Amino acid sequence: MTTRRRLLTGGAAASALALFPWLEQRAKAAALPPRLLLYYTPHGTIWDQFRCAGGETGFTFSPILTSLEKHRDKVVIVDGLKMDNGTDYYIPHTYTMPVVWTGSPIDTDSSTFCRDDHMQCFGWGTGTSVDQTIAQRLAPTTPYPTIELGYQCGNLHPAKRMIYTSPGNTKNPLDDPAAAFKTLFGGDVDLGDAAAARAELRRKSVLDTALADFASHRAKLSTTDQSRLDTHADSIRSLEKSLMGSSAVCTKPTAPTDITAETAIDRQSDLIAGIFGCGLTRIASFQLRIADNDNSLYPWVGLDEGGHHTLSHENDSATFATLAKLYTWYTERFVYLLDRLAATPDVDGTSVLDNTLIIWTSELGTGWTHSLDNVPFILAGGANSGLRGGRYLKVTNALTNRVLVTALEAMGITDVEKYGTTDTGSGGLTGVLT
Amino acid sequence: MRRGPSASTTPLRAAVVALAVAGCTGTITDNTMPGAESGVGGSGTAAGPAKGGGSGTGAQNSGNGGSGGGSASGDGGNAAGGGTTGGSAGSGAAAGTGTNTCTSTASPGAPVPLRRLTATQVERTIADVLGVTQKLDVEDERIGTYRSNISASVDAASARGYYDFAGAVAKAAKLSECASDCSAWLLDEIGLRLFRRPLLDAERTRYGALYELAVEDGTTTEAAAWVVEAMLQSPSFLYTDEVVKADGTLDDYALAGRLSLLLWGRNPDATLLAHAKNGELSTPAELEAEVTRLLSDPESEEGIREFVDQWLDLARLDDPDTRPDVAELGAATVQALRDEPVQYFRRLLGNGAALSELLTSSTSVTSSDLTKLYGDDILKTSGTTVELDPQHRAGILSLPGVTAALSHARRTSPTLRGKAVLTGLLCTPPEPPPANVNTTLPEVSTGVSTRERLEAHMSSSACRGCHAPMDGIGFSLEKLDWLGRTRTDDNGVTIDDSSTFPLGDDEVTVKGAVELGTLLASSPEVAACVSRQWLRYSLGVTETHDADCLVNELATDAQGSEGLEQMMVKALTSDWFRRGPGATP
Repeated sequence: MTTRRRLLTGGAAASALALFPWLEQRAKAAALPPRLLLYYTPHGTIWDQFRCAGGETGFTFSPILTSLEKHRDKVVIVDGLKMDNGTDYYIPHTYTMPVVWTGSPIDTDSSTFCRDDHMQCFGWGTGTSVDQTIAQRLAPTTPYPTIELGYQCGNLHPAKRMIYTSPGNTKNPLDDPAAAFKTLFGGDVDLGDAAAARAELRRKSVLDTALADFASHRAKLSTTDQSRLDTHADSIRSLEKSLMGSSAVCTKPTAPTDITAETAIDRQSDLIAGIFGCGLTRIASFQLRIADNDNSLYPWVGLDEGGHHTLSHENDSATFATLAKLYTWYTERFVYLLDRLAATPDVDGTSVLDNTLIIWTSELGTGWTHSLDNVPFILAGGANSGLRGGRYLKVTNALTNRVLVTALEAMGITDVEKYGTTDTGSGGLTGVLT
Repeated sequence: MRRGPSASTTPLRAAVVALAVAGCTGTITDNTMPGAESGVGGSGTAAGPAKGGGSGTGAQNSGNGGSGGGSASGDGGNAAGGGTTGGSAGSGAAAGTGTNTCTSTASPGAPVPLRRLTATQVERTIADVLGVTQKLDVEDERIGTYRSNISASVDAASARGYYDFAGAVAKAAKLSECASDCSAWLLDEIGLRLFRRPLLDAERTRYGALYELAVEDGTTTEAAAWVVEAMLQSPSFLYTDEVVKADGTLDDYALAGRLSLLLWGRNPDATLLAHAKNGELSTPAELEAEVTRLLSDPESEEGIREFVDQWLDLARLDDPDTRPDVAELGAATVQALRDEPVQYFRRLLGNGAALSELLTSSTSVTSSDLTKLYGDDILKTSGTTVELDPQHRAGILSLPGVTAALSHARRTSPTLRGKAVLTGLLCTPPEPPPANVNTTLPEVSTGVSTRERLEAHMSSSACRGCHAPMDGIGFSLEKLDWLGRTRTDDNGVTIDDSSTFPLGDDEVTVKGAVELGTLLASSPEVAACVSRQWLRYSLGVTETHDADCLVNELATDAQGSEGLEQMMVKALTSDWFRRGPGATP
């Protein structure tokens, strides 16, 4: 048993870097590899109050975006990107949620889901979201290849999921801050193991023993069932790595308290900062609620009846004013996120924001017309994110797919010209990256 | 894909079945009529893609040839199968009871996906094997109304849930055998009980090595905790149906596991494992004997509880946010409300009842916590068995727990009650309300009864199609209030619980809960549907058309003497139940 034991405990005696290979890789690299965060809020915006006046660089921040000014040199606001839903018929919200990060249409040959009011049936999205493609290409050594967070994302439905590991296969976001914290940063059950090294040994040996059982004799399983078991095993592996890493290397975020609808987004932003700061992943996403239909109330901005989606179908000035207040509040939440990333130190002494590209968008451009002609995009990131910030970018004749290619490029994947099956253009968004 | 209104995951029989019920006349039928499919299947259907919910629904009803029953759908909420192929091969055929087009009671093969234990099954097994009470914080999927983990993968949050559970159980387990070396006991006994089969050689080596590693610098108790912690996270513990024989059926150990988890709500006991070891579950007679043994054992209470509780959605009683009125009764009464339908069902099962008695019996098994709610309705008490006033109470639907669960806070919901009958007893669930339809009812005001408020449903064609049968059924239960108490007036209005409503092509009239029970009790459709519910719960999946022959046989059995038990046993000895997961041949 001595040999086996040495094998299992060898790492614990060595330096933290030797134990956590993903940190070792990061420390070795001349510049830290960039990170990516995809950020979603539902139902577009009010363009009249979102659009900034002025030129590409000397622009004035609009009412909705005014709080973003403090990060002026770290953001690019894109005006004019068109989404192609890729299908003949268009059920607003539902048919574009799968398109947001995949650039590929929803499956209209399937009848897994039906909408009787539209007399239409449909299935899941037919693409892979860009974050998952990046994770699959880069094969990150972080504990989690990607992490999905959200808030109130609802049950399994194409209008309620945006991250696809492959056509038809979505990932569930951790959409409750308390559960997310427990999953990603939860402490260990104290089994009375005296020393940290022994607790480490126990965790690793116990989980490795359970993992080995996945290779047992279930030869006759269908491919679906086999992939369920594979995903289960992957989840244990991620858990194992994260448990080893989070104890020693970084300042863990504190457990979120007082979670309400008004504070939950910020609490998830705290976790995102912690996730990146602790190196749990390089690629993450955040989904606020659902595309079809977010009828939540936001009484603290005056949206106290009707619900977000219902109001987004109205076109009177009072409703526009209420919605503009909501979207202003969304911007403030986004700014809070940037603040937290800026305040979180990275392993090389820079801030997490310096090394992260964040892309914020929605499932359509304008709620009350369901228009896809101008879907709002805000890109943000610091010095090492590759973003040429401080600009308001007006574009014409470009699809949202361009931003997806930009995401690939920022993450070092430069051999992709088109992304998604709706893509009729080529390359990343011009002039966005350095 | 454009959807025909009959697109459905549920095979629906279209035969019109005549009912001969004393005191009421009429027929009962499935909503899906022969020819419904052809009426709307083509692309030229009436309204085409419609934004307004009203016109979309209108198009469907006209497509149904004015059958008035609305359209039928699968009851999986979002799920709706059918479509082009399902439409022509499946629900398009006029396959009804009696003229069924099915050819065999056997499964066409491999219909069952790999199942992961439910949280309750895990918790009960741990309590039994390790003597530890610990809550597992991993959510279950629901297939229709039943919890069944057949499709979702274990994601990061669930893996964390199992990890925390395993750690907590390993810490709490008092393994007296492990005061000294207990590795053999762990591998032979605990391993067998957790994995529902003996450990494989590779597993013995692996878990043995884990024990040795732990004991090198620790105690035997600590080593045992490591082993238990690992076993509880192993797929061999968490997933069932492990070994499938060449013919696609489960081996004896896997079958024992499935039976015990279903009927006892936990892993097999030593006796059942011994039967599996000796190959004593292989013949139909042996299997039937074992199923009967498990079902007649008091341990089956927990299995029956899971079925009845989920079938009738009694968990609705345990949500203080939506039901503060129920919560105010106190935990013991809430539990008693939830328990009674289970004990009622078990009593009939044990007494060799026919299925119809489920809908007519006025004898119940209750707790003194419900005495106050029952008031004068209890005529005679003998231990926990009570004779209820047959004028007010007959059948499982009239029990306080059931009517209370199918209510809102401090008001009844005829709609919920009718929907539950259509869904759980007739297997013809109504469609969800069309989007963009205002579902707000008129405000509650003095002197207006619930029934009068619901008349709003009848004023709109978009609502009437589904609400006429739903609300109509519910009106007959109006003399049972939101806590299941009998009442004679509602908001100052004397209750009229006679109700005439469309069921399929016909109109039926019933007066009160007792007549409704009588009507349903005599319906072969109800017998078939309850059989379907049991089959769904047992298999953990929604059955396909291929099960029609089996369902017909089960329904026939169910209507005979000792029908309830015979139906349940036959389902579990059927080819369908013995099938394992696996690649489609």
